[in-house]
Amino acid sequence: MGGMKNIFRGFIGMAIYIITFMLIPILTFDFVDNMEIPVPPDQILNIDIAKGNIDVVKFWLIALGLMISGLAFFTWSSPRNSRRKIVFSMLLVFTNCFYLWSYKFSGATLFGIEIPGLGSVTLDFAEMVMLYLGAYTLIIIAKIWKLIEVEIGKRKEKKEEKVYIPDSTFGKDGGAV
Amino acid sequence: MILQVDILRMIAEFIGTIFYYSRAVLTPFGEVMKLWIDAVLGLMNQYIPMEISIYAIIFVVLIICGVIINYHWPGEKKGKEKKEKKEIEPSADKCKYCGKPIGDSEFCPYCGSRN
Repeated sequence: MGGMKNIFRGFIGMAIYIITFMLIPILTFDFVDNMEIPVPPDQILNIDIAKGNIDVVKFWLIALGLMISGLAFFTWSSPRNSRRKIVFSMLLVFTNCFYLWSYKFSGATLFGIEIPGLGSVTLDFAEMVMLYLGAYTLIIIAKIWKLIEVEIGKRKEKKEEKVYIPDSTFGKDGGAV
Repeated sequence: MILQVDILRMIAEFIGTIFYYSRAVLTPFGEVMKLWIDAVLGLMNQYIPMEISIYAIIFVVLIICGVIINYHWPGEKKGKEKKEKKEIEPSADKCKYCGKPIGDSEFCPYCGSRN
């Protein structure tokens, strides 16, 4: 019964990650790519993402989004304070780093805006990616610490179990030893 | 509308301040992360072809493994056993005369007295 509950929780986690890491970014990129802002007189403000290389951005979003969603399923479905939950959440953070970096190497952090009659503006969000990667480093350190904590807790539990269980005073058939 | 813009600006300024002050600490960490990510990506580009099906297979394998593992090891058995043991311990009857556990039996297996 507990297993089914865990699996259900995993599917919820997976759905959240699919929406936030795949659907919303892809729809946003699609929307911004197709967006046309009319500028009077009779001109259009063109926003250029990833130097027109939007397909590469989408490929990496889907590819790494799938990996992240799979790992999220595993992480969310694992029982609390278990080693596998922490190990897989660490793998999830590592994959998140790749996901974030994919924005950079596919050129999605570069936004070019052409303003008719005035020139063009380029926005580079690469610095923000570095900032997030730094934050992820701290998360990884926290996860390692948590793993050590759980490991120590498990060992303590095992020791307590050994002390707790008294030697049986009865034989297997119920008679006195 | 004006209120909405003001709130958005406040949020943007707040986030901007956090980023501005944490930049000095976090960006060097990010630079270190960049090194290993670049190295791994280099290997990925060499050995893994750019096909979505590979990632889809990994996704499916992870889900199936997750389902199987959680079905067989839900991570609750030990706790349950412990609770059962704790519940049994205090209710176990003891001999009136020698104080040793006698379980459900009427006679003490140690001193032989009737309880």
